[in-house]
Amino acid sequence: MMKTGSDTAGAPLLRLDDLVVEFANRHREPGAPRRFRAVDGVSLEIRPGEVVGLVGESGSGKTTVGKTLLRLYEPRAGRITFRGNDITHLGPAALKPHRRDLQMIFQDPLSSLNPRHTVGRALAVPLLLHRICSRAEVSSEVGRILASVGLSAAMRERYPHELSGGQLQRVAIGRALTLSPALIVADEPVSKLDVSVRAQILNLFKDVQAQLGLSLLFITHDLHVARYLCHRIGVMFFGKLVELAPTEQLFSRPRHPYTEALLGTLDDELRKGERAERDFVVGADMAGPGAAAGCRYYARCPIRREVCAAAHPPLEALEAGCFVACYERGSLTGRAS
Amino acid sequence: MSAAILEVRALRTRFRAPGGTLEAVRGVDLDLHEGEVLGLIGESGSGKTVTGLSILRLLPESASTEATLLRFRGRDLGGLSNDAFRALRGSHLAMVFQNPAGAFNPAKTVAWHLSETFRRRAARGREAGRREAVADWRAAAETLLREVGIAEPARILRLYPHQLSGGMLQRVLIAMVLALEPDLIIADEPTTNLDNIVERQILALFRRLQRKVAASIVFITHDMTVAAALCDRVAVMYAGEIVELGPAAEVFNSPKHPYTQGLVATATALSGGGRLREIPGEPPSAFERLPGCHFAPRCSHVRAACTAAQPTMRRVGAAHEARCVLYD
Repeated sequence: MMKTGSDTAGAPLLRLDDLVVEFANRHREPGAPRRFRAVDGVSLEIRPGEVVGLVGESGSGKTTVGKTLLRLYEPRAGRITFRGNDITHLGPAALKPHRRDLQMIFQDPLSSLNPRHTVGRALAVPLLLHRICSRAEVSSEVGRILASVGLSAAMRERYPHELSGGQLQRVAIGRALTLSPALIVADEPVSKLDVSVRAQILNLFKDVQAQLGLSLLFITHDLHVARYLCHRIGVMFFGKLVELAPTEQLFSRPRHPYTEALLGTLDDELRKGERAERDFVVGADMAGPGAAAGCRYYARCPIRREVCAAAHPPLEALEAGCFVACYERGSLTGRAS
Repeated sequence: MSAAILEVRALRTRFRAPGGTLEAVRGVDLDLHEGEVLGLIGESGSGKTVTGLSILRLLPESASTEATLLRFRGRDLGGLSNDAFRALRGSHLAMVFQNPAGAFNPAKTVAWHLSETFRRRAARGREAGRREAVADWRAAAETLLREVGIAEPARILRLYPHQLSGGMLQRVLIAMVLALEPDLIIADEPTTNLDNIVERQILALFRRLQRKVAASIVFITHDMTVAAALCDRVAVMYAGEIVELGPAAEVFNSPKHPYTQGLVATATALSGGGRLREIPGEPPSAFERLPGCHFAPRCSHVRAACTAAQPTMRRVGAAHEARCVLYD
């Protein structure tokens, strides 16, 4: 099995091996397959204290990876290893001790909080459920959590609908932190926030992560945001991990043509203050994967070759912790393995 | 400077809400010139969407809108009956929404929607004594779909809205706008739900739309990079007011209002590295009415004059204005 982490650190906190997740294909056109493969053989490691970003367009499977590793979806195939334990098929009881170590923060914090519970109660319940502290200590612990995410103690009496988007996301982060988890999956946690508030929440993520030495899987479609926060970034395209590299390597030397296209959309037009007409390529077919058997990016790829239509290229290790799934850019030069 | 296709003065929109009256738009003055793309930038709750909806009379019953002047091509919109306004909206004015699915009838195919658009255009032509009907709407529709980057137009025409992705639906909607050839388009965050690559492609389509049919566009967005890529002029909204207005390049290169300065700084710092500069605090609620500048509680330049009275727009460049006492 390929090792998709860097060799310098010790054992990974979490490891995914060839994860496959499928859903029933509703709204299908006649003749389309019954099952839709949202995640197709993704392998990834997250080390202690590491922030790994998953970027890709909507429908690329990045959220499904995050939810599956928390066991919110059942994988069709593959293995999820957490702290050396195979948790892929653990039942609810066996999974419970791991639950407190694995937390999630959603894009829309309002829908992830019970509207009839005050903020104080939302934070207290997990503390009691997992017996983190006694009933007597709950109040002071909730106060400590609120302070750690920059909220005043008065917030504990408020209901979710009384809070702004930024405050809600602070509560969601606080609640994920109540159990002192080892890994948090954050799914687009800033994409619904206002620009002026987004910076506050990103800084909060950065501070909390550094102080607590958390591991974070940060799912986002925004490369700017991923660059700001992540140590390594994985790029997904239609269920496949097509590139994985340390953040600066990914930005300075993208290998996969899809990553290149994504970076091409990162414009510094704002800084230059001029309108760029250059990047406006229209006409690339929006239909997803081209040849069903071949590379998922085949239909859109500017450097495709004959071999690319035959099989999707494997994710291949290059130097310095960089991985790419591309016959042209890897060293495999056309040998399908 | 070309003539204004749309003139708006002192636009105010209020909503009746359980907690009292909420003023979402508090006195917006706006001129849209012929063939221009004007960006309306702001955060959620700043009133940018409500401004667009107010102009097109698309607000629910609980809203009341007033303006001292609301004119389209010299014609007073305020005096029009609802029926007359609806006819105008379907032919000369068009709106593109953030969620394209809402603009489609889920029980009808893409083909039906496009044929309906061509029918409306033909009706508009008859009224004006011009011939605007197309001989073969299906062929015309396929051409337009190809133009917006859809490779298999014949197949797409047979599909229903739910069978298309968000990016595809937005393309079809833009093809419909191309088919209609309206004079004024108000686009509300049309790319916000799309990923970066599709977003760029849709923005390119808007450019093309503007060139091809010479439409004037009000482009509502919270994303400064999108506005920078598309707009000729931008208006920055905060708490229901325009706080800065000017040529796009000028506003982004040398923002004058402290709020705009903060927005530009946060937007550019992400790609730079180092810690992000924050704008402290959060925007005021639309129920609140501050006696002075609405940005004052978050502003680092705040002084006595800011909280004493509402600042008016100050001229800070040839065609550049800011609502801030720093420029007295």
